[in-house]
Amino acid sequence: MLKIYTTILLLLFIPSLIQAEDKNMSKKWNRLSHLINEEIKTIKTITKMGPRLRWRLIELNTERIKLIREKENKTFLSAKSSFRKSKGKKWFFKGSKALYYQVRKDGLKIIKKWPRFKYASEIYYTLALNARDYGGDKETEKYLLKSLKNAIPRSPIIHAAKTSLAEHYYNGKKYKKAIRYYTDVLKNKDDEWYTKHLYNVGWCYIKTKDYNKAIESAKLSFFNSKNKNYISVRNQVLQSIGFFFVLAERVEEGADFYVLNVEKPGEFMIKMAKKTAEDRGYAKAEYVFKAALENSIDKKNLDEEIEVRLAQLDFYRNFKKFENFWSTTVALDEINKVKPLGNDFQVTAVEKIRSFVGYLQVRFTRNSKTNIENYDEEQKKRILHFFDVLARINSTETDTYRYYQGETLFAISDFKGSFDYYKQSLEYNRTKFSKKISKVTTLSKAPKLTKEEIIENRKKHEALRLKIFDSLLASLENGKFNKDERYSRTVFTYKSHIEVYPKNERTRKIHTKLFNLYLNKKEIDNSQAALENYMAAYKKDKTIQQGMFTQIMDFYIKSKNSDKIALWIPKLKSGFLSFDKGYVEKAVLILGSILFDSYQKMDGAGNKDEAAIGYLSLFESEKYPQSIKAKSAYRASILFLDLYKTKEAFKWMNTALKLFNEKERFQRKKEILAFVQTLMLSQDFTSSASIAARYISIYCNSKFKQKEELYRASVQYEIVEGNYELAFSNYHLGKKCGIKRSVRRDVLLSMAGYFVRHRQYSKYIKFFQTYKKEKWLKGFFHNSFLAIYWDYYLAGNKKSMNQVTELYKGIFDKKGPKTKAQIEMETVLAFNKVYPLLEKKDMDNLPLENNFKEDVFNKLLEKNVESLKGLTASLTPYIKSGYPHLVTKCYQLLESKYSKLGNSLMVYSPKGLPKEYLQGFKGAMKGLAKNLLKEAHGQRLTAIRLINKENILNPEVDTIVGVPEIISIIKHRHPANLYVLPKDRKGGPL
Amino acid sequence: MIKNLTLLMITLLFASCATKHLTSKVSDPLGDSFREESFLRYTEARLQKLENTPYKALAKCHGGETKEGLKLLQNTMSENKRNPEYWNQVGMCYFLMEDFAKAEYFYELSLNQVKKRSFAPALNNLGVLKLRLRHYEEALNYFKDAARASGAHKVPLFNQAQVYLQFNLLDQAGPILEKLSKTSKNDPDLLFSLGSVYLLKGQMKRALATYNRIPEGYKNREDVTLVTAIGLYEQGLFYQAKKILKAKNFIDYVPLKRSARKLTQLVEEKIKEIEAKKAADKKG
Repeated sequence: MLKIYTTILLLLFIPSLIQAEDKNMSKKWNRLSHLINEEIKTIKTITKMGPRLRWRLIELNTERIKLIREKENKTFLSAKSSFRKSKGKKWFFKGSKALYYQVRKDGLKIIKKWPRFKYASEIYYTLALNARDYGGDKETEKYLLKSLKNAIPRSPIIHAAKTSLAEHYYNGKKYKKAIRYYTDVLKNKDDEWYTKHLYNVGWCYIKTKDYNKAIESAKLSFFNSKNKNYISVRNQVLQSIGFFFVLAERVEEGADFYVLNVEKPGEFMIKMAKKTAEDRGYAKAEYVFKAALENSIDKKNLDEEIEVRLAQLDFYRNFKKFENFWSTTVALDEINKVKPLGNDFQVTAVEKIRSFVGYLQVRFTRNSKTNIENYDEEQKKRILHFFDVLARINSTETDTYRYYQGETLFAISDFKGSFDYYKQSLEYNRTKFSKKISKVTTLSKAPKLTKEEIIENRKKHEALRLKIFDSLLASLENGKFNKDERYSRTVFTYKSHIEVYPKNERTRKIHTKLFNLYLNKKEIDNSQAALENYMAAYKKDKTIQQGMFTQIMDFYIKSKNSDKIALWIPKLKSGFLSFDKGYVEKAVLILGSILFDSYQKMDGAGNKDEAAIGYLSLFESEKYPQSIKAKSAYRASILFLDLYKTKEAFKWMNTALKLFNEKERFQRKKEILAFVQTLMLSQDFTSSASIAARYISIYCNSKFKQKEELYRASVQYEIVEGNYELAFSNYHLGKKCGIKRSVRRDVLLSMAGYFVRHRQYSKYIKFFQTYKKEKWLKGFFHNSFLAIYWDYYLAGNKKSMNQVTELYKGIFDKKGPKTKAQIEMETVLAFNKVYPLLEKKDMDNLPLENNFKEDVFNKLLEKNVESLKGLTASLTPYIKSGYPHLVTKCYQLLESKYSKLGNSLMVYSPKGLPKEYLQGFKGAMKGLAKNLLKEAHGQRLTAIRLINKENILNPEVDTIVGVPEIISIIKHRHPANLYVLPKDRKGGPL
Repeated sequence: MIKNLTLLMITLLFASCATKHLTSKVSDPLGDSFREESFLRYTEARLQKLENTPYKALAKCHGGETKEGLKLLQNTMSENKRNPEYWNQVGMCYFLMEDFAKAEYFYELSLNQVKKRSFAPALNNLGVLKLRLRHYEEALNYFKDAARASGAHKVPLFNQAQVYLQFNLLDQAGPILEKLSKTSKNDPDLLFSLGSVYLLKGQMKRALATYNRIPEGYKNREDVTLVTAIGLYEQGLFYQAKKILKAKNFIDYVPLKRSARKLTQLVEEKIKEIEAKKAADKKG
């Protein structure tokens, strides 16, 4: 009931379904629909319709069913699968179904109502077709038979009905019935479907195992297809005729048929060959393949040839004709070499070959596991060759194939071979997705991959790469390589791993291994690069990296590669690997010792000049750090000093001092002192003093053992050189730089002493002016002035004596205790005051001889004697003083005065006195005079004795000593200075 | 005070000009009493013979090539650091260059290499230096110390005698020079010095006889001429005195020149007197 109701509703709505223009359908559909609708509409306007119109309506509605069905199909296909599922298929085709029923009903109605309607046959025919197309084909036969039954003789509907029946039976696999009707149908050679019918009947014959007839029909169909009056079923025939020939056991004929009649029979012959293989076995199928192949080759149909060969691959594989499979592969390979296989062919070829070789490989490796030593060598080679071919055909997967080749060899423990293949695999794998390779390897017609496919490819690529590395390492581990082989392979593997996986746990270990590898091979540059790569990737592994770098440095040190060490030192100083200061300093020291080694040897061999030049070349070079330059300059300076080239030595020592750091410079204080002393011994006082002064200035505030000696040198040597101002300047440095006061005083005193010793009296006076207030110098000044005074005394330079005296008096102590010198000077001054007075005093004053008066004479004589006594008394303290020059002068004066009086008395002869008185007087005077002269003589002798005993050098002893007067008159004095001889040697024969 | 200082300084300036020595270069080694100790009186020919001896450098210095001599010495410094003779030689070269500061320094250095500083050459040379600087007493002490030190000591004794002579300590100078002259009978400087002792003692005949022993080549020295003239004068041989004074141009040493001039004056006065008396006697 519901069904009827639904049908009625649908029928009501059907017009509306197709009346309006449907935008979802094509223009053609809409136009057709419109035409049909209009015609139906027009017809329906006629109230009384005869059978013909009704028949027309049936025709139109049949057309409508088509349109509706078309629309329904579209709706069905475009609906979501879930909607389709929920509704079910039938729901979508309700409309057309309903109309089908309607049309069937109408048709039967017409026939019922007008049984003799002349188109009853047509009506049945239409119903049959509708039943076939829309009714599930259940009533098709019935209506077709009825159509035939009701057909007017020689009506075209008979042919149509018979055709449809034949087809119906054919489709329903009622072949005999089908043949029966086809036989009739085939009589009508005007039917454009003649060729189709022939083809179909051919199939019917096949089904009824009348193969020969099938072949004839097919052939007929084929050849008639050439006729333009017929529908060409050529392809269909060709698709099937091969099969017919096979079934008919006329394989060769079939192959020939194709070859003779088809330009490109490849497709068909392949199909035929496959069928032949199934039904007739290898030989027959091989015939077909061969024929097809030769044909394609003869006709230069490359694509067909490829197709045939590809089909042959399966054929040979199935029939285990492995050699043929191989030859076919080779042939395909050759073709590919000339012109790469098209994408589809390539895919197919690769799939088939890959599958086969996979099979071979599995067999091979399985066998090898059980009996690794007795594997089939040829088998192995074949497998490898297969992969080579695959790599050529499908170069994008070269990495995969090489990998498999590696696996093949690995299975038989040929680790050397496997390594090489793995290597090739990796090399290709790494470049696979590079743009360059992609351009070369990608076929222009290759289909573009989807995003998902690309991602999938990448994943595979990555997975393969991982496997390759595992395999490389396994090959290395297991392979028995010679030393060089192992080395190069390991390096390759490690390097590649690092490049590919800059950061993973295995890489982390590999960095160290690669480093050690290079290091053991003494490829230091490479080991360095390895270290740097490690550092870049793993900044935190500093401790390990330091250890590695230390090994590099050890190598450089061992090989005495100073250039490299020099190159690294600035980097170490800048913080490379955060090495501590101690390490850097040690490196510098080592560099120095390496650099200096050869020059030290030169020095040891006596080639000091060359060694010095060598050191200076190190100084000049920009390669070396400042410390090395400083040491080079320093060593050069030492060498120059050894060569007595004091100026150069001085220059380079100054340079070294400037360049040394604090520590280095201070470390060398002992050597600096030795240097200073040697410079002096080499007679370069200025340079020596300069270095000493400089060093003290630098370490002014430091305490060290050599400081005092350097200080002394800095002053003393400038003095010797006559650079007094510099000497003083260096002296003053002493206080500033903490030199002990006692030392400074000593040095100052030595300067002053120098001035005195060398008669640099002007300098001495200046010195005196500057330091006269220094109490500690009091003794020195006193002694100096006294010495200078006597110096001038001996030179007979009275003027200078006075000048010195005046200066000296200025510092006399007036209050405190007096120095010995002052006492002496005061005594001398006092003596000098007294002496002239005493000398001037007449002590031989006697009255005139003409005017002799005894009492006057006696008085005067007494006075003279008293004067002499007074003189003695006055001079006694000076004599007692012990100062030799004063003592001699005293005795000189006494001798002079005594002898003068004595001589005066000796010759005194007063006039006008009685002879006897005179005689007595004279005798008495003579006696007195003798005593006086004796006294005088005694004084003289004492003086002379004193002079001789004490070697008193007195310029005024001429008279006492008794030098001839002429000597004094002409002022001749023997200039000892101009006669003394220096002593060049100790003595003895030369 | 300042005036005194200025005067003192001026005095010092003028005192610096002086002749180096009056001794002669002695060509005959046998005539050189001090040949084994001093090269000062070596002729060029004799110095050249020192070329292949350890005194090559010193010979250069004595020959006027002090820079070269010092350079040669410098080159052997390292092996001679502790050698007093070496440092004495260095000092000698500086002395000959009149760099007394360095000479003194190296003489001291020479002494420091020897125990108790007893190295005669350096001691002697310090004495010579002191004498140059007019530190007479110090000089004398050095000569005495040198004479006491081991080794030959003719030179220090000779030098002592020179100082004694200058200060008329003739009883000290005489014995030294007499003893020394026994070893060499014709050393001009030795004979000159000995003659001077006699001269200053008033023993003119002896003095003249001693001067006469001086080899001919050295007799016409200025100093020899002067003292001979003094002796002649004292002997009353005025004409001879005049002759030798006239024949000599005194240029080496200013004091000698002054003394010679004065003596010439006296000689001429005496000759005038004699001539006058002769003339008077002739008249009378």
